[in-house]
Amino acid sequence: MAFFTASILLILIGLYAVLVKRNIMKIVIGLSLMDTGVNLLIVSLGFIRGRTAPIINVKDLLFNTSSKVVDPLPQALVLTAIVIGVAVTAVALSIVMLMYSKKGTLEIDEYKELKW
Amino acid sequence: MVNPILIIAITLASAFFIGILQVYSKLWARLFFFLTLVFDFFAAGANFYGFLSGRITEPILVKIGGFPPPIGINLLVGKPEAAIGFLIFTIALLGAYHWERKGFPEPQGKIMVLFLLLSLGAAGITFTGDFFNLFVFIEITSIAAYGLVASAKTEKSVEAAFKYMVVGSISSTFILLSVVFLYKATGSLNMMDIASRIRNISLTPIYILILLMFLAGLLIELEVFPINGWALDVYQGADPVVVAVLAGAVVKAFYLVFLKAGTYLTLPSFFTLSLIFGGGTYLVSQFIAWRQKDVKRFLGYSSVAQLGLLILSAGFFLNPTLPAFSKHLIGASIVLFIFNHSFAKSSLFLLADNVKSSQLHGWRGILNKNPLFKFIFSTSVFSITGVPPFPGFWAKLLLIFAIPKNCSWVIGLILVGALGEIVYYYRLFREASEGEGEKVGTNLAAPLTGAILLIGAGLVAWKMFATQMGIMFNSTILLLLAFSIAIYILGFSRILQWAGSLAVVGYGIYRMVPEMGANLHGFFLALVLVGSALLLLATYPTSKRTSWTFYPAYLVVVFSMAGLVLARNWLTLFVFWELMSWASFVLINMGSRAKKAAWIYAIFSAIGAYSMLAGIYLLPGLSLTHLKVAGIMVPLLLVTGFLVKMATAPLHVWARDAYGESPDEFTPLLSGIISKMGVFGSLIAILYVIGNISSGPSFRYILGWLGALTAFFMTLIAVFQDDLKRLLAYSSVGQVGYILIGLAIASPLGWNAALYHTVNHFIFKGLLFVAAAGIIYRVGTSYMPRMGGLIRRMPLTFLSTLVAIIALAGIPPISGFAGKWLLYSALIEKGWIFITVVTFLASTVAFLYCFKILHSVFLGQLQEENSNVKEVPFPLAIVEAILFVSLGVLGAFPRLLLDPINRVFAGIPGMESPGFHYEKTLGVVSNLGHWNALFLMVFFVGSFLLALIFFAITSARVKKVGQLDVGYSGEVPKSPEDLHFGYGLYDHFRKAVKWFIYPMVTKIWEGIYEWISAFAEIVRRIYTGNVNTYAAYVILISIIIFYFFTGVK
Amino acid sequence: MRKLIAIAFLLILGFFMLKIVSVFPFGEERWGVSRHYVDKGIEENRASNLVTSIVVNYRGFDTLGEVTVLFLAATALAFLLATCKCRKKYERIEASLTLKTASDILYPLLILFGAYIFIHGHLTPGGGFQGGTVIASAVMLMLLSHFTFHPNHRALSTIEGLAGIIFVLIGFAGFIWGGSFLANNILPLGHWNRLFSAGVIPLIYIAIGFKVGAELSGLITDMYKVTKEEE
Repeated sequence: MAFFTASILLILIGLYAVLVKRNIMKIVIGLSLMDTGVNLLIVSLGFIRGRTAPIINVKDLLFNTSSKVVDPLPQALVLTAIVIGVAVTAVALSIVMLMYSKKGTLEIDEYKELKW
Repeated sequence: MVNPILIIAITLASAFFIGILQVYSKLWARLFFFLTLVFDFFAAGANFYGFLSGRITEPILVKIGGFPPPIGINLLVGKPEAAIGFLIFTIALLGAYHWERKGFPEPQGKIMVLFLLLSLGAAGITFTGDFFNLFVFIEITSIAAYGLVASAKTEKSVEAAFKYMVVGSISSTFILLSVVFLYKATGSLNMMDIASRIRNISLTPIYILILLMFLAGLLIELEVFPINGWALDVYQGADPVVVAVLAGAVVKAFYLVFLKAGTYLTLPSFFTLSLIFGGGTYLVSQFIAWRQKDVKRFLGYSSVAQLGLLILSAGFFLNPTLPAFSKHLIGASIVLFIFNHSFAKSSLFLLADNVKSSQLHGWRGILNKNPLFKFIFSTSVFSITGVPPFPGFWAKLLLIFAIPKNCSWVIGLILVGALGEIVYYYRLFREASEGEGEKVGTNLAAPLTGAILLIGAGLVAWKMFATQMGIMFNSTILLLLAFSIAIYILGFSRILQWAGSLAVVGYGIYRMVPEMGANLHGFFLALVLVGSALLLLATYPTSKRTSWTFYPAYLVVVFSMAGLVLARNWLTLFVFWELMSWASFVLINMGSRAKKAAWIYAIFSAIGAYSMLAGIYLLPGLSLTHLKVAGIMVPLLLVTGFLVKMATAPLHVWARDAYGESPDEFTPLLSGIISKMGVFGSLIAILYVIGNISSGPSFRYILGWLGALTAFFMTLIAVFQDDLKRLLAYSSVGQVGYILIGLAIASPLGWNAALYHTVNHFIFKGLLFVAAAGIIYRVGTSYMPRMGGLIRRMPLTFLSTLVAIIALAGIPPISGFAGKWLLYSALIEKGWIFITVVTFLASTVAFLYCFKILHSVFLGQLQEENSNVKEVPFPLAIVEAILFVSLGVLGAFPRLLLDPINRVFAGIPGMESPGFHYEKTLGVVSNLGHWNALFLMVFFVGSFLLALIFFAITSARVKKVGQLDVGYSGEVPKSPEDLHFGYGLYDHFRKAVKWFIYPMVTKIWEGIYEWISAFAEIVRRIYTGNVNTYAAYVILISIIIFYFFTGVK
Repeated sequence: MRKLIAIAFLLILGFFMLKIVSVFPFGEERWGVSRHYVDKGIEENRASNLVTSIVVNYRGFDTLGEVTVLFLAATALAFLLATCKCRKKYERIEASLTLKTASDILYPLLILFGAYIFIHGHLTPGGGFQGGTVIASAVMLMLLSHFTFHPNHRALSTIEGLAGIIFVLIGFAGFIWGGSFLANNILPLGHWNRLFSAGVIPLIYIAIGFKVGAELSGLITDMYKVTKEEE
């Protein structure tokens, strides 16, 4: 449960940065934090108490596997999610660099040309 | 059939390949890029065609890796997926082509990869049958979209991309979390598998919460109010090509996911949610666009609204309690809406790409300089706003008639929203056709394709609509409409077009003769066709001013009126009614100063049409037979539509300028015949619906008062007009008021009076407007103080105007007297005393303006600049002569018209006896008196001749003074007005009735407009432009959804 | 005030999330479709690492999408920063000799290590993504320590594209010879827990390793270049 709470907390902290912070970089950091929180949550959802990693590298694990390893699917999903998070962050950073090059500031309040 | 995995894999491989190629050769990269898109287009098209033709019956299931569905990922492509896939690649191909013509931004290779992967992602979203895979494709699409939105690299585009990115990330977080939770809860990621597993577990609040989290993520991507600030910013800030693809293709993929979510995740509150968010978004967006000055953002509002309507339809579509028939209709309407919006909106955005400024004033007048642009623009706008025969119209109709009667408030919402849409789209139309604009870019091939597709789809949809609703359209009318459009190609010579039009109308009369008969429909058909033929004769193209589209639009108006009066059910009537209204909008808009008038005309037409549509929807049946309805609501809605065309107060606001500023060739038709369609409609509404309601008499009494007040006030205002056409406009509206009184009386005498006056008004008002057209053509102005003394120059016109005015004033012996006589008889017989008084007052006042016309135009001094004017052109003179003669003949022999009218009513129960009869010596005899028209004619003409002879004998002794021989008494006149003795004729009288002619109704309408705009102005401030706020809205809306729809407290 | 409202919103949202996870007790055994992967994974794919088995084969299509996402990010970044004038003046300090020398030694080792990770992706924890990341970190190290280090951009693009195409081609091979896209029955599966086993899985992971390595290196280089060009 502690893992769940912690990862949800991480998501909320990330969201807090998105909702409140005025600095664009901090917003991007918030998004990254959110991703991390989500990934952590996914992995911990796949955890089964007292089991080992789903890598069958010893003979013993070959038999009756499902009572010996944790759920491998969330781990596979999280791998994808991590990569996607990296990709989004990369694009976000390049957009931020472009923004900065246009106006020379990272204050979000300066970027309100489009409204209403 | 092409395996969908091939589409995705090949596109991916070629995206990777382009990534390599672009390093070495841009040309090859570009070639390869287009090859791939073309392949995708054909592959997706082949699949869609397979489904359409029935060659593929089962959904295509692709097992990736060879694993059966719950274990491996699978693609599931049914008919809807295939359709959306095809749509995506079609739009992508058009967009790519457009961008290529415009020039890709550097580095080209990279942007092509992004573009390819955007369409691939959208296709993946459409095809996939697995929730996590869906998430992956959503991310592919989103990241490509972030990059593409920023691709213009302007401040605005980068800002938009950032906001999109932030909100999009929150959305994908929701989607990812809910997918993983869903896996945890059901043990599966496959859509179908989850659907079957969910059916087996009890939907505890927590499950619902998980499903709602998914839906919340999706609703963000679907741009619902108020979490769509990012989308609007993207529409405004990004390159229009990107926006065209996003709005046209990508959003549709998300919409399909929404439909799938509704299907697979049996969510109990899906209907309520889609109603709230879809309906709310639709309604709000249609109004907050009113004051928008940026065209791209305003198109964005419209996109968001259309999407809202789609969401709303999805709610109904997936509602299990909906009858199968309605579901079928909604399905068809969703298909049409998607098609319509995709192509129309993409075309509009691509058009916007050709215009330098995206500000509203930057669009000023550009339609007048760019004919092709105008064609595409009009087609797209017509289609989006639901004008027949474009797909948007049919989609709206199908949707409305599919919504069950217990949700009829939704109809109100849809129609009110549609009205809001009309207001701002035609404001753009008005701005874009006002004055002389600049040349725009010529990158129009892609939007042109869109426009052509829209037209084609509209025609297909027409057929589809007819079969779905089980109604038939008169094939002769359809043929004639096709001819009308074909007249366009003769546009290189206006004379040829004119002659061709006459031929088409002649052919129409020939084909329609059997239909013209002694019933209501046949009577009006005769009036429409014969009358239009006459007025068409008078449109003889004297100048080069008329546009290519004048005659096609004119003929469309004529034949849609023919279709309208021949309609045997309300739906057909409505379709032709709309066709007539919008074709006449096109015609009015041709007037060089009529842009505002056309805008107002469009708005009021829409008010009328939509309220009529709501009325038709509420009727218990669609056929034109006696229908039993309860309450006053239905007849009120129904009749409002007709009153608008008759310009009855308080719906008359559009009439002055629409009559006054529309092309002179068209105004006779507008006043003479189009307004009579309102009469026809009201007549059948009273006959079939209003006659049956319990509150009938009182409702008709109200109608009677409306007619009387219209007659009185419009006549009064007409007196003070200095503009010939405006004077005639008010007069026309007032005269139609009389007809309404006759209709409202609903006694044999009253209806005889109404129909008689209908024909008569056509003759004399047609004559007056034709004369006016001729005079304005010769004199060059419609401002009466610049005329005067034209009696010498235009004797025939003078004579016919004189007779027409006598008819108008209802003075014997000309035909107008019969109408008045019947009307007063009917009123007195009915006992509506006060209405009688008001009516009487009105016709007395009418003398004033009648005199003013004669006096200001024909009598007095000839202005110097008019000294060389000639009689009106020959074809106009012929028409004047025909109408003039017919007025006289009818005056002497009213039975020529009264007998057919009697026969019209003979078949209607309660109307068999006309309330009067004929006697040899007494003439027409009613309970109240009698009148012998022939005797009166002989008497009056005789007296006139006597007076003429006397005048001829004595005139030798009169000293002749030249017409311009006037003394100034030392004062030098500053303007022509000072010389004109009709100028300011009734100024003293004006002071006396100042309070009566205050344009109160106009002010009220303007006030309503202002209030709504001001309110919209406040509402749209919620889009602060700050990304923190946007994110906060997202969270707020999500927790509201979670709180109210799950039961988790 | 803004902060308070934000915190209130987030607390409510957090409450709902907690409610959801509370129905899934932590560490509880709860199998869904993954039971199949665990029970049949070895038999069907012969890859010791079950996660790899899922990532590359059972849900290989997701991974193809994932690779695409990364490719997309690299492309978008390169596109957006291509003409960017996002430079800021600052002084560049030459890296110390120790750092340079150490990097020179580490560079090939890191690349080797990365390759090791992705080659053994089906046997050990690790795989194409992890290996690729390690390789990219080697490039990053060089970029930071060596002024003159310039990864060949063309080569990177080519490797990136080719590796992607190879992935798709392996999928196609499955489509043509194995009956379905990405099918793992076109090569012998081999023996459990051997390097040469698990059919196409190691091939795909190697392609992914190359691709991710090249992409991330390119990504870092692109970002780095923007700031570097301004001396």
